[in-house]
Amino acid sequence: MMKTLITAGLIFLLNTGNIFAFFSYDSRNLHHKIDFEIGGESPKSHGIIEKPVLADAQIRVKAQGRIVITGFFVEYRKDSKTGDNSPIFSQPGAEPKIDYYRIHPIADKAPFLIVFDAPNGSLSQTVDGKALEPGKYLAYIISSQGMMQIIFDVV
Amino acid sequence: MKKIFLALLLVLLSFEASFAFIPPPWRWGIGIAIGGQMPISAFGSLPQIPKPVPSDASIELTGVEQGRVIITGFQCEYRGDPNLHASNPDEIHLMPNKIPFVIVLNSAKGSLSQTTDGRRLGPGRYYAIIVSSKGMNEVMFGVD
Repeated sequence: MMKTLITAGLIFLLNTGNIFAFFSYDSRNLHHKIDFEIGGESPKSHGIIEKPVLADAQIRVKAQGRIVITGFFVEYRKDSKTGDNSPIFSQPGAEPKIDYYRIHPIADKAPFLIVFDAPNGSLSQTVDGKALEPGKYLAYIISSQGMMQIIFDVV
Repeated sequence: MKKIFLALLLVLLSFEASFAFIPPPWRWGIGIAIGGQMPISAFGSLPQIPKPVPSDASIELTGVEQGRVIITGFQCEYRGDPNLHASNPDEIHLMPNKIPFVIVLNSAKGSLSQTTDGRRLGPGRYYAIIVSSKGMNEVMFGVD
């Protein structure tokens, strides 16, 4: 009896991780790849623009209508085990992935907002006219064709 | 000995299961109520405002004491069960010709009518993200 109970509990818990993963919500089906470039560079498959861009970098979007880009200042926390500063981890033969738990917002920096009509815009077209400060940003590009999450670096 | 091993295994597995639930740090900070209603979250669904609200409904934010907050999003079509409060993400479909809306707030209180282009949100279902210096959150709501 005791053995059966323990086995049943074990099976339940083994499955719990999968159940939770299945039930934890994911809005990624609203995320559509939007064909765009900042400073002449497109984001990689994991949404990171690898080369740092200037605060007045040109934006080109293959879409129609109004484009909204909004985001906030972030910093990467070091991996406590490896001391690595990048949240991107890659395994041989697999697509690189982002460890989102190492990306932290910097609370005293205001979020930015850029609105322009496709196809051409610039990072300098912020609604408040302030240039983006150097640093890392986690941002969302929103168009009528969908949205996309990106990470980029301003120098 | 066996029992201790099994007990340890159970504890470890419980930890693993609970970690699947914790969102990343930039999704911790902001809460939103629209038209006086807090969003309902359920397993496997996007947080959703339970009942449709008027296009000038109030917005109240929590976790944002000061500073700019940007609310932006788009109208979408929901093909799931309309009687369910929660939104199944797989049933949310984009409406390609709808212009994204933008609301900029400088305090924790505002209204859905404060769009930057002055246009009221038309009837329908909306997906929105809320962005502040503390990170982002997302919500589904309906406008009647």
